[in-house]
Amino acid sequence: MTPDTCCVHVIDDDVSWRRSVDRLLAAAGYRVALHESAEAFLATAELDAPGCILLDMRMPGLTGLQLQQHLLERRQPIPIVFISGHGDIPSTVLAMKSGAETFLTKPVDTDVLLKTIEQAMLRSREEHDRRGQLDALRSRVDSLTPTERKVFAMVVRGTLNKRIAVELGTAERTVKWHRQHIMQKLQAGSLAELVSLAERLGLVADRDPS
Amino acid sequence: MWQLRHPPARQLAVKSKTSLGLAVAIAAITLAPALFVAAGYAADLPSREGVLIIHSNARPTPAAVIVEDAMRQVLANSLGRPVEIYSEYLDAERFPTPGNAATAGEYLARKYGDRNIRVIVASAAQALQFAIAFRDRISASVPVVHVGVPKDQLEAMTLLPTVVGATVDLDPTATLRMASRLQPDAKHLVIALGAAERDRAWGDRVRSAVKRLPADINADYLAGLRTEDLLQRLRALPKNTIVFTPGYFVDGAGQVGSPRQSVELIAAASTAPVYGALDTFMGAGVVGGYMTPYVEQATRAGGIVVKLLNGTPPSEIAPSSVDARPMVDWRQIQRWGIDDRLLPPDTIVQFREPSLWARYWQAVSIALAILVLQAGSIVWLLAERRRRRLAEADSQKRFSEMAHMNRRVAMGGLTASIAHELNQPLGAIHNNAGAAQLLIKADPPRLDEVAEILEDIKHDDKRASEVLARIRRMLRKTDLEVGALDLSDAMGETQKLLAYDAQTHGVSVKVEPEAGLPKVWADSVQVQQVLLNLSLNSIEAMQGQPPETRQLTIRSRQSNAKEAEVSVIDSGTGIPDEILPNVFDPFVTSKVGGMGLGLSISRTIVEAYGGRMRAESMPTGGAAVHFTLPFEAGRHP
Repeated sequence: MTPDTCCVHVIDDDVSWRRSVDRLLAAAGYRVALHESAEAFLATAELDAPGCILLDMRMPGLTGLQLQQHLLERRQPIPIVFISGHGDIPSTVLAMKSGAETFLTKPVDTDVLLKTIEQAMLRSREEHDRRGQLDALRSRVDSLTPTERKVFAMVVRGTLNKRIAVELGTAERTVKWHRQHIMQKLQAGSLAELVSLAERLGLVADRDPS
Repeated sequence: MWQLRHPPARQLAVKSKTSLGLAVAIAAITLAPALFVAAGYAADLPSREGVLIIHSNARPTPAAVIVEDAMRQVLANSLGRPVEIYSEYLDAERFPTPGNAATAGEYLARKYGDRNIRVIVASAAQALQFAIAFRDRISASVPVVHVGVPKDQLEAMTLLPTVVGATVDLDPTATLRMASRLQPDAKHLVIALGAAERDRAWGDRVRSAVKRLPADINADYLAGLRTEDLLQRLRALPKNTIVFTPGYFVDGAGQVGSPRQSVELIAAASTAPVYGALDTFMGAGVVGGYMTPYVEQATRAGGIVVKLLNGTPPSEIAPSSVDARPMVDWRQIQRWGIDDRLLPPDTIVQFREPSLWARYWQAVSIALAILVLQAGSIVWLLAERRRRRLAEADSQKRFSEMAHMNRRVAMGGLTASIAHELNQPLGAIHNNAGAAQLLIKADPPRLDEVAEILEDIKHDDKRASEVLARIRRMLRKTDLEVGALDLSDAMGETQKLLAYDAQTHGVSVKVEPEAGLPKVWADSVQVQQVLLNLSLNSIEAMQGQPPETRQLTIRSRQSNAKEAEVSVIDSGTGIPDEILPNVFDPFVTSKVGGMGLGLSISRTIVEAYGGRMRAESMPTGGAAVHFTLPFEAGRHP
């Protein structure tokens, strides 16, 4: 499975259900990966690719909710569509609070299921794209020298060149040279762009929680 | 004693020589008194008062016997002293000539010459004639008492003053009138007569009687026929005929019998009712008639004899006459369908079978009382049994309702499981249908995949139906279906029902049926109900345990030759000691909010099959409930 391949992961202990969902989603044009348990999913699934999980709430072994928590802990932002033979309110609430895409009850209307999967996949792709951009940005940031990184951090917080020069113990002219390099490396056309980039990377928040 | 009077040695010698003489001597000694007594009795007879009874006929006919017996009885009772009674039979029918009579007279004169004959009793007319002729030869001027001589014949004789007796009126008029009254539609009268002197007299009597009957009755006289011919004629009579017979001694062929014998034959042959003249015919098959009871005649004659023996002169004794009385044989009245209301009011009805009641009223009342008591107790017992059955049925119904409620409660607790079980196949069907829609719309339609989908839909539909069937079986309220049951099936079904609930509660369920275990005799639903109750208890009991240790095991094994044992074992905290002894009683529970009915109902179910249920806390922790069920093969010990 290549990273760019979109995939719907169906995790359910009921083989009939798995087969039927496989058929439906395949007919709708999705790539489907079937897993008979949460453990099997964790063992084999490629989570970096965009995709979503159609997750049975109750299964022998790891339950759907437990898998959700597990993925949250691993910072795997894959959308999860919960599905259950019989939903109870507490577990639904818990699933939604933990960021579940939605919560469906078997039997699911075909249109609802397909729409839900479509949305989840769209979100996943967006997220994946966003993460891709961020990763690109991050790799650009990574290409900055330590000095440039310091300068970048101070620039996006609005520190004046003079002040930066004082902080670094260099000439203001050197700072300007660094800024130019930074703009080039990070492909930013303006200071505003640079600030937005830093925000996307969480650099501003990280450094200054206020 | 005899031996003691002689020395033993001598006795032996004498005995050997004279044993024959000795035996003769002993016989003489033994017999002598008997001979002496016999000789003494015989020697005594000539002086004893004697009564000679002379019968006209040849042998003791019924009438003769009655005369003899009545005479002897009267003399024995009324005379007060012994009297010798002699009997002679003249056989006058076969020896009717005067010569015969003379010979007989001569013989009797000689025979009784030395006897003290004080009275001669003459039975019937011929005997009376004979007695009158020869009495002086037998015993001079001895009084003669006659009996059974018809009035008309007596009137025709010249009687000596010393002849008295009890006359009998043999006029058949009354009898014939009675017959025509009993058979109102009978216009034909048949008279059956014999061929002797006596019968001619009867013919005269009947003829004069018929003249006094209504003119429209015509009489037919069958007189002097051979018996066979007579009977032949009688066999062809219409029912509305009156047959009258005085009986006869001699028939047309000269055959001699007794009147009663002839009447028996006539009555047996006749196809119409037969009426008779003499009371000795009663019981011989005749309907009846006006008859003079022979016993009465004989008793009257006996009374006259007693008076004569006591010295009363014959002239002072009034002749006695015995009236004829209506008599009928009830059996004949019934046989001919004669209306008994037509009988004269003073009729003597003979042979009326006394009713069972009249004859055995005591026994019958006791038997009836016993029967009534018995019937009563049977009714009471039946009522009791019915009441008990109803009560049993009622309690069974109540139990059945309670068991049903228990199943509903148990199944209610499995709602989530049931929904899950049902929604799995329904969801799959829905998905498959959706997929099929998409595949059909595809260009070109992917029909081979649709075919696969339809196959899967059928499979899932069946699966859903099975789930529903399983639930319905558990919830049904119908009668039990007790039969051969494979325990592993019931255990498997229970596992399916439980699976989701157990999973939800983090309990892993193991089902371990013993391989090759024979089938038990029970209702599948009830066994599942028991397993479900026990399993749900166990699942609940394990909730305090860490999830990885929650283990429920349902196991079956052969307990003994007749029973299987099923065990439901959990890894919970066991059963608290204080409720262990009462764990199967209703309303005993360790559960908060539990009714405590599940175990009680389960035990009742098991015991209904003759099984037993026991609970124990396992040494390794947890509780085990074991119950037994009889094998199918061993259910009729």
